[in-house]
Amino acid sequence: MIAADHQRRAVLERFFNADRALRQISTHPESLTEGATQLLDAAQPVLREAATTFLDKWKERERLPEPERDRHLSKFCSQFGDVLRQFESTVIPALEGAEPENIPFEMENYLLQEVKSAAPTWNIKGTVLASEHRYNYAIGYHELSRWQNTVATDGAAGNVAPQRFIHFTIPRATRDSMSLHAVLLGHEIGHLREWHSPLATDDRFLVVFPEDRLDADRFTIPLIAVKDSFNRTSRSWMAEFVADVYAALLLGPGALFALDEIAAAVNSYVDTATHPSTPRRIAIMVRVLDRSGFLNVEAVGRSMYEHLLAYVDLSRGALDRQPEEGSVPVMSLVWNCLRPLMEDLIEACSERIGSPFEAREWWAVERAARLLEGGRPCGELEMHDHLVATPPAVILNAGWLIKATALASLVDELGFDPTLASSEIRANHVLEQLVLKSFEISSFRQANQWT
Amino acid sequence: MDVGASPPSAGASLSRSTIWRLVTNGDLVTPRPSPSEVDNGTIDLRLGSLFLIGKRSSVAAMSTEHPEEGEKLFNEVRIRSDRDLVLQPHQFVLATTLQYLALPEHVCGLIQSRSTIGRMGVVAVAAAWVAPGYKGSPTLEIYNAGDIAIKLRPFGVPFCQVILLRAERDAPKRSRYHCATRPLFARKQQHGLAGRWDWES
Repeated sequence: MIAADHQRRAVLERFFNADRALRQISTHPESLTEGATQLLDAAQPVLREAATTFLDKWKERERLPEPERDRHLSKFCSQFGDVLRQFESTVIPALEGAEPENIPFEMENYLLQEVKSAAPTWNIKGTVLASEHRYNYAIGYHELSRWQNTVATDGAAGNVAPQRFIHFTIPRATRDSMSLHAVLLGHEIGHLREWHSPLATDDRFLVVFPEDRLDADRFTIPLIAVKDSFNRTSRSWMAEFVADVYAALLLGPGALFALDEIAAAVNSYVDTATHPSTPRRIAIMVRVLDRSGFLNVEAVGRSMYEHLLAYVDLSRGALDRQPEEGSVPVMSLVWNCLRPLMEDLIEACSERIGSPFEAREWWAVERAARLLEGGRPCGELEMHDHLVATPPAVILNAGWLIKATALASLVDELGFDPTLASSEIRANHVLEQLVLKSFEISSFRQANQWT
Repeated sequence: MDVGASPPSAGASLSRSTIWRLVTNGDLVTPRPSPSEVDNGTIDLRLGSLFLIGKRSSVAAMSTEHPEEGEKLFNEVRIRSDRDLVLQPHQFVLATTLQYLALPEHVCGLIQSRSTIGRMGVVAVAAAWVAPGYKGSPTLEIYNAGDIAIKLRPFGVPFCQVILLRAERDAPKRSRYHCATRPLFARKQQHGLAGRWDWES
């Protein structure tokens, strides 16, 4: 009884703290993003219902005779503890990280559109964009209904309709960065597309552990353990390649530059159990860009073409290089199985989403880039005699075009001293702010059309 | 004398047709205003979604000699476009416009409140000067001079207007607030956009 009582008190304290955290967030509803508002509106009643149910059911169980009472009550507390853990580890951090000053809220409209497009049949209740202090980009989803079902029926499946939330996590420090924006709209959305309509489990891309072709004696651990590692790594690598291919199809060169910049920040130039090395990923993206027509000087202009050639050189040989690893060459096994599938994978992804952004649209990128170079946002463009909201892929690539080839012009426009090292960094900061303003204007133009 | 043929003098406000011609050429402002937002000499501007709001502090006073030190006394707050910022009586905030101005070198501007807003007690900007060649979303100084709280809606009804005038100018000089997209607190020149970093030799 004493142990269960202590657990009860601990669970109630956690309910109280979680509720207080949600109340604190709800004190400024005018600032919350749409996704955060939806999550908060869904989470508060679930938490309160959970607390009420906990107290009601505790009273019922208190009447049980010892020693079953203590054992039963302990188990009961653990179940609700699991529910609380999900609030504490996902819902509350997501809401706290969704403060507008910590996220690129200007992009929220486009992010919501991309989520709908990537998972059209899912009943997505809300999309939350949140930041954290760690240097981490991730996408996840959680279902509030799972908790409601646990709460309502003590763990058995209930009849509550799914309330699915998509949750993007970004590093707080890179809130304004074009790399972040490209990763969000490209790579992370690519993961969502894959979850919704998996290619990795398609027969064409199902990678089987080549047990019959292996000599178990060459491994220092049992083959069963090698197989486990192989399965995990092959699934993870395939997921990353799929997301990269989708990113390159959706955003063109901007996705490639973003990957390279983030890789430099996290030093991911070697293969790991979860991610292929950046040169390997760049090589695959270069293939996609080539198919989309971007590796063509007439299509993208001399400056961008030469910039892209540097990536072609970087990726040369990357696909042939074996991963560096210790005595258990799992990654080499994985790569040898995945490599023959890459071209078909690119083809399959293209069939899924078509070619949303191709080199023939580069003229719009150049037009948008000239605006940015002149210190102006590019949120709307005259296209085919109409003023339209500039698409995100055009905005991002225009930003990257200036960053890669014409930052000195922006330094001049801003009147900075070109001899100072800080001038380019400051100009880049202004460029990033202009890109965000472009997103804001583009969203406004999308919602407000007049000639 | 054919008045129409004489060159426009500096200080003359631009006509509606001239403004519209410049706007459709991609100058003056983005996003492009609706025709109803353009009049003789003026373009209506809407509030943006970012505000600098003062916070309670133990600091006794800000100094006009060191205005940049007051920046830490303000929080940047974002208001969603379907919600309101409630401006309490006698409260002061800094805001910015949705629109981004891009004035040619021969055009300057003055920003003033619209009379509808002014009659509610909101003082929005005391004739803020927009220099020839300025680019950016200008910072608005908004004060509720009345005794009743006022709700301000980002991207809502036109909040203020920019009066556009022809300018004579010798050489372009970049403001320390050039290319701003957010409301900016006061800056000293060497700490503004053109300054060097402290650790830079």
